[in-house]
Amino acid sequence: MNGGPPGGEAVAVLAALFDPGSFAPLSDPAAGGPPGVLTGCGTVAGRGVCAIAQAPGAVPEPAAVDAELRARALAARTGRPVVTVHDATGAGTARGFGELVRGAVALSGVVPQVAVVTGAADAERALLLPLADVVVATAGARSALADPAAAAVVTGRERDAAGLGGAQLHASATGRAAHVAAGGAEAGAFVRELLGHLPSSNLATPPRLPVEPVAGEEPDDELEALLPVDPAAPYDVREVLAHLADDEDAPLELHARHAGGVLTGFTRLDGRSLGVVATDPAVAGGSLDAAAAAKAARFVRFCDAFGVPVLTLVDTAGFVPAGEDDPGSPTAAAAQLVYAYAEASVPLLTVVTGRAHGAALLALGSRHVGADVVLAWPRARLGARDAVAEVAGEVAQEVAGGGARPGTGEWAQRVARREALASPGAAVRAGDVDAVVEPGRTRAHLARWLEALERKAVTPPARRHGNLPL
Amino acid sequence: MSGAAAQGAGTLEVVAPGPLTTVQDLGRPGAFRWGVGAAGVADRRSLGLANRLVGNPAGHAALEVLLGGLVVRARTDLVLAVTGAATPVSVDGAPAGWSSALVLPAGSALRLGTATAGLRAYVAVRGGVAVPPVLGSRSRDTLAGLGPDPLAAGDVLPVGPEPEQLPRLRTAPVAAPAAGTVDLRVRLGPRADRFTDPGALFAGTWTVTAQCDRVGARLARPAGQPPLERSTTAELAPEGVVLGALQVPPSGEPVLFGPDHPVTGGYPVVGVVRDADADLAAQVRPGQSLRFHPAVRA
Repeated sequence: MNGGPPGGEAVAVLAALFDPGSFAPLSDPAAGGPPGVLTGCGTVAGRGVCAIAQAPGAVPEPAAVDAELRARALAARTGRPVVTVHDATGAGTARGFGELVRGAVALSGVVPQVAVVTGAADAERALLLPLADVVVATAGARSALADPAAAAVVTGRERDAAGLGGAQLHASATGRAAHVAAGGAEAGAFVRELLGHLPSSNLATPPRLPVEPVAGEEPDDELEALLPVDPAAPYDVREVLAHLADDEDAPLELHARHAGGVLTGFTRLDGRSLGVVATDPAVAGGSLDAAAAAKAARFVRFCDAFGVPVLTLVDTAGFVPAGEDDPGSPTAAAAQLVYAYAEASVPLLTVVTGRAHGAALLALGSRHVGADVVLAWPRARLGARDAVAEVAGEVAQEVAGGGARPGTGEWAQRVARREALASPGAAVRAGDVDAVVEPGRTRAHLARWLEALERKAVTPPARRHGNLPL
Repeated sequence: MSGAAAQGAGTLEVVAPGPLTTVQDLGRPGAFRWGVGAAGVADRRSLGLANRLVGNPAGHAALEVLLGGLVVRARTDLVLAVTGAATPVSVDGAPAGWSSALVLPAGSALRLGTATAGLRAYVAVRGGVAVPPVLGSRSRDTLAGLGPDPLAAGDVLPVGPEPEQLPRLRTAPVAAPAAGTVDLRVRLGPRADRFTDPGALFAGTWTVTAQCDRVGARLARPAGQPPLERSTTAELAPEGVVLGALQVPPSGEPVLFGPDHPVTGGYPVVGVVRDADADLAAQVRPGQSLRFHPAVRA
């Protein structure tokens, strides 16, 4: 048995994804095409998108793999996003799989590629997921490269394929799934919204929605009230983003349950699609560990590949202090983040909303690393170290030189003075920040800069490609 | 001024204790032979972090706050830190940092809201809570009734002399305790042979019931999951039990022992949660799920 037509969830994905009646099959088992895969094109909000939906079953015939390759080739020639619905359940890999991998790599950065997993993407098929730009899984989906039997022998732990790589695990621990949807229809609707933020290909621009001009808006007084005075106090960064965006919906988040110290997602400002990287002060002080740095780096490169401007909101306790031998190679991940910003040629706007110290100040949309405009709110605090760490360092020197140790009251005063010195005004004078703006007027500033940077163009140096610190 | 501080002139006044706030340090290890349990702080890691944030040595006594609700007022300038359960922190009504060194000026009040994740928050004060020790510890042992009484409104707590070390960092970037299923590693035994299938412990999940305090947490089996059956109901002679022991009464619903566990128990202990995971167990709330994994693989 080599599979029949796509299963119910896969069909539901396509039905929710495409404009009604727009899908035209290219290869359809029901119309005599090879069994195991349905391919075709349709429109999503009026723009062309190619889709490939696998049928549950055993190893697809080589003819089915050919059909997938043809659909990808059509997407490449016509500059359309590719959505692949993974629903294989059988073991083994079809002949021609290598060509599928090669095709996915060839399309990387050319057209947006989205993988939706409604069934299984196991063994070699698991490799196709990280090669997509965005992976959406349904609750029952799974993906694992390792053979469960082999893994059980080696680890002594009996886990089936779902235990090795279930949707929940990919949403949280691995971060491979950008979103887990309840079912096929919800997954299709998510992809539809996602594609609305992206251009059809790297040669197109993201769609811009008609909106009332931002310049005519009153300052947003409510935003200021959301922000605590104490720079160490947490607040809801999603609500802040909703105030900065065109509509009050929170951003379309990707990887919400993975590496929560940083939020990544898409929003709209002045009708324009905008990628957002925002540290979340309510999760471990908005700190960056290796996973959070890698998550942000991959998102910045995704936006850059498809011409979506990046807005970075910075309020962070910094990089999580880690040993160089800690899991995840934290310094390499931090370097990936710096690389991603330095390499990006899309408009880069940064708002320092709170704390930004040390390497985090450099790694998150710094002006020196390549941001076009860096704004700061009056509550922002910038500097090499936080005020407590600064004072501890000063006192250690004074004590070493024979000075007295301050009591609690004096210490607190020195910390407060230090904190005042780390104001955004000082950062403007130091050249780290372009301007201090009121939170309530930030939307207008950002809209103006997005307009000004619309035609930003960077000519990359002649080279085969850079060497991203993977 | 610093001379007065060095003599430990700081004081902290309890305005409201919340559901249960006790003074805790690292307990009374080594007194088992006299029938005195080690007791001590439930989540040692969070106590250590709170102490480090304010510059204290690791063993200084702090406040262990069940679910939040504590309000304290400084009578002198104090430096505090709140760690453990994720609780909204405010100073005189203004939001303040969690897992951060914070200044509480004389006359100001620190308030902990209700924890959103985790069970026990820790409030360390620079200098430590300097109530008189009992048998070498300031910990309240709730089962034995040893140590300082749980806090009551109006209590005034002395704060010890300032340590040498100043706070070195404003905020420690640590994650809040997990809100979902918590994984704990268990070494089977010493009485696993008293069960039909001790491995049933590792199947599925267990739910923490409302019977959950510093002595222990009773666990219930969600419907449809294999029970933990004792193969014999013959009684054991009472034997010593330890922190993290999973003692199983005839009902088959284990009790996971906390820091104030009894010194001996008469029901068989099917397994013991690894000491390194005891801090995780201390933050599990009633209603939350536990999953046990074998700590030693066959």
